[in-house]
Amino acid sequence: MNERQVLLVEDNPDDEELTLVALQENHIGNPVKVVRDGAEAMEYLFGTGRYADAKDRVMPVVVLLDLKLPKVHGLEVLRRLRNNDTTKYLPVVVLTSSKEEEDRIQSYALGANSYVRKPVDFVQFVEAVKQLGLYWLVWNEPPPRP
Amino acid sequence: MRLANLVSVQTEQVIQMTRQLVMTVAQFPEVVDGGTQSCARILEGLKNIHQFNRALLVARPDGEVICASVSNHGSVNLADREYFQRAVKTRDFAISDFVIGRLTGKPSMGFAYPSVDRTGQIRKVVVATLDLSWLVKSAPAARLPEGSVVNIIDRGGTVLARWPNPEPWVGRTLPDAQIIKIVLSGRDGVAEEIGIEGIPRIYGFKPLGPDQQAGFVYVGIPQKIAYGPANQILTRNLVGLGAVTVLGLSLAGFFGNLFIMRGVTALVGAAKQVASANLSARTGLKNRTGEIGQLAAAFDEMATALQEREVERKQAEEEIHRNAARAQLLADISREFGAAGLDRASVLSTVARRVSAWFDDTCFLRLVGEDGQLPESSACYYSYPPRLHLAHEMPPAPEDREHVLLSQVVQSGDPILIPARDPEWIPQVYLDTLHCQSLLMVAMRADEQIVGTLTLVRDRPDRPHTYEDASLLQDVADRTAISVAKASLVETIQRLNAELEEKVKERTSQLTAANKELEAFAYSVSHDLRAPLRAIDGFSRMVLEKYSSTVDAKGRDYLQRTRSSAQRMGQLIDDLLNLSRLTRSPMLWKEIDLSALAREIEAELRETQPDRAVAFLVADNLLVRGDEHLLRTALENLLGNAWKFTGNTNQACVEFGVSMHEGEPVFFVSDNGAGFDMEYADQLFGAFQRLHSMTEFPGTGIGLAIVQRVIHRHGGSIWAEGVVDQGATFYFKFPKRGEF
Repeated sequence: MNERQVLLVEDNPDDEELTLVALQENHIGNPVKVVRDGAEAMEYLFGTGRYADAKDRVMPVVVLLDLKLPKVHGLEVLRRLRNNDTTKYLPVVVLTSSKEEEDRIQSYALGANSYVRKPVDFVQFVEAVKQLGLYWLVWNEPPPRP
Repeated sequence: MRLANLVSVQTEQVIQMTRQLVMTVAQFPEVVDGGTQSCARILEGLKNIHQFNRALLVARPDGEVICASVSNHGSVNLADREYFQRAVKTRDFAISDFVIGRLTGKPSMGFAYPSVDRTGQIRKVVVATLDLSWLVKSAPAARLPEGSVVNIIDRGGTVLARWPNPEPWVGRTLPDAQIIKIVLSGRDGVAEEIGIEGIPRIYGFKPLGPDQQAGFVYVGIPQKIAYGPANQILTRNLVGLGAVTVLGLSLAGFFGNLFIMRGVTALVGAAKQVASANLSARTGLKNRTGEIGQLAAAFDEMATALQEREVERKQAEEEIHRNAARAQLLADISREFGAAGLDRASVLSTVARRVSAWFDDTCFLRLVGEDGQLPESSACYYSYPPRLHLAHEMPPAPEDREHVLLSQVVQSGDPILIPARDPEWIPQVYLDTLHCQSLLMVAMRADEQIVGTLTLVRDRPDRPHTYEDASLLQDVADRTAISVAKASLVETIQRLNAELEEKVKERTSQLTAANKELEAFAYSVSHDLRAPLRAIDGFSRMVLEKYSSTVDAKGRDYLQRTRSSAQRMGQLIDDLLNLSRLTRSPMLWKEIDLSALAREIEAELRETQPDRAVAFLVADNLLVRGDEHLLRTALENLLGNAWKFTGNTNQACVEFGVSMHEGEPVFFVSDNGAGFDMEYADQLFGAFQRLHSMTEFPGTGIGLAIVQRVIHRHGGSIWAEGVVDQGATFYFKFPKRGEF
């Protein structure tokens, strides 16, 4: 349970699979928790709702957050995380299909730590995931646990 | 006309007075019985009194003059005078026509009265000749405008008296002159004519005395003065009134000095009173017989006449005041129209308030509807405060009887005056609510168009509306009409403006909504269309890598094609989003150095393919005002295309500069590359339109569409010329400053 966990917030199963494959191809063996919409992401991180009594719930070292999510939009998830003392320093990487200027501005304004656009080309995608994994799971020192 | 009238009336009075005088003289015993000596003494005494009687004579019935108030009479016989004969024959007073006097040599009138003794025998005949020149003496005092004339002519058209400058005219007979013909027609009137000396004037004329016996008087004022600037009619009225007033005053002085008999205290006293303006003073000697009685009676008659004159003068003065007040009302209304700033409601309420206060009536204004129909609704009504609440109870739409009146006024344009409580014509609501005793309705006329009606309702039976009220109200109505017409025009323009603004707002909000939708669409595209492509590419690649042993070469080729198609589609989606972003992003205008931008882009292109040798010719100082990001995108595409399509060309050359086209400078980017067939030139700028295959030159076909959109957003235009294998030139220009 001390292993550095990744939280992947992704509603598209194809993207989920591709992300997991990309991590695997880059030999990043950290555990990955996948949640499939914005509401679930918050329940997991705040320990509420269906994760209120979850014994296996751990605070991830990095959140890979898609923006276009069912129920609660990624930007709203980000805003709530930053407004909560337990998650306000949690590293969040926005990982999305869009490179809309408005999305980028909003993400950084709400305190995203990074913004990465998922390339269509899988080779590039694998490379992007590799870099992310190396940086956030190996080199980056997470904030102290609250 | 007024002056002519006055001269005429004056003449009649003088005739009456002279008649009194000769009858009085005929009573004197010295005259009846006496000889030349005693007679002359009497005449001498009277001489100073009658300024206008140049000659007073006493003759025997055979016509032989025995004494005269003028010395130089010689032996004059009056027997041949028609009036003398008539006096003797009828034994009564006789008046001559205007004649040239035998003794005075001036135009004059003769009066004869037989002096009869106790036995009824005619002993003497008293004759007075009246010099006519005095008649025009009061003319200078009337302060007639320069160039005016006063003329007296006899029935034959002979000029008897004239002011000013009588010499050349008096005694001349001009029956053919047009003005004299008109005057001789025998009626009162006003005419505009060329006078006998050739100056156009406005003439007032009138016969003198009963039966035109005495001839005619006419007064002329030069047209250019009468028709001077400003209100001509008003000027004419005022000039006429002024003349009348001054004449009246001069007459008062004239008569005041008249008949003051020395030694006759009562007469003197009464005359003094008259002089001190107590015109009701009389001698009280009415029943006295004899000379003093006669004179006293004559005085009383004069005083009565004077009093009448005074009344007339006062009326004239009142009329001047009334006219001035009317002019003031019109001027005030005009000024308030200016201050009201052409707002129709203000114009109407101003008129209603002013007119209501002026006439002390309730005032209604109704406007003709835009459909040209009768004034259906009361556009404005107002009453003097005490009756304001009553006016508010009035129904806005006219009832039947009012409808009849309104339609008649609107159709004919003429005023309607109902100066009595006539229940057949006056609308019921006016009778009931406003206690209407008199009603006046006029049309508001502007440019022969009737824009509405103005109605006055009066509730006092003692003071019905007059024609004068009607003419003033008409003046006000016509001024109002012009202001209303102007205000309507302004309101129409304002309404059209407002409608236009509303339309612009509507369109803007439609555009904003469309833009929002487009943004939502673009957002959805950028997120949702790319994800499946990533899956297609990703899983194809995984199959190729992990399961290559179970897929043969052909299968691997197909999977490879699947991957490149997915990637190409990703590129297309990105380009499409870029294109839509170009339309949506706001523009930041500033001065842009296109030469510098082109050189930066050149450097970037050289970095992508450092081994290529392309000659770049970029002109200096290509300045333009626009959005830097958009213009850079456009230049990137144009120069990038030139770079790309010269890829197979030896000694490739790309040029960016300015040339003249139809007298205007245009920018151009030219190359000596692959060029294009002009037949397909119209397809060049369409999105995803390509004239080359992917294998020849790669691309999505979005570049020129982007360039065109950028140029259009700057208000400019772009076109291209090309020859296959010889190169292409793209021309673009921006609007001149101030055009966009």
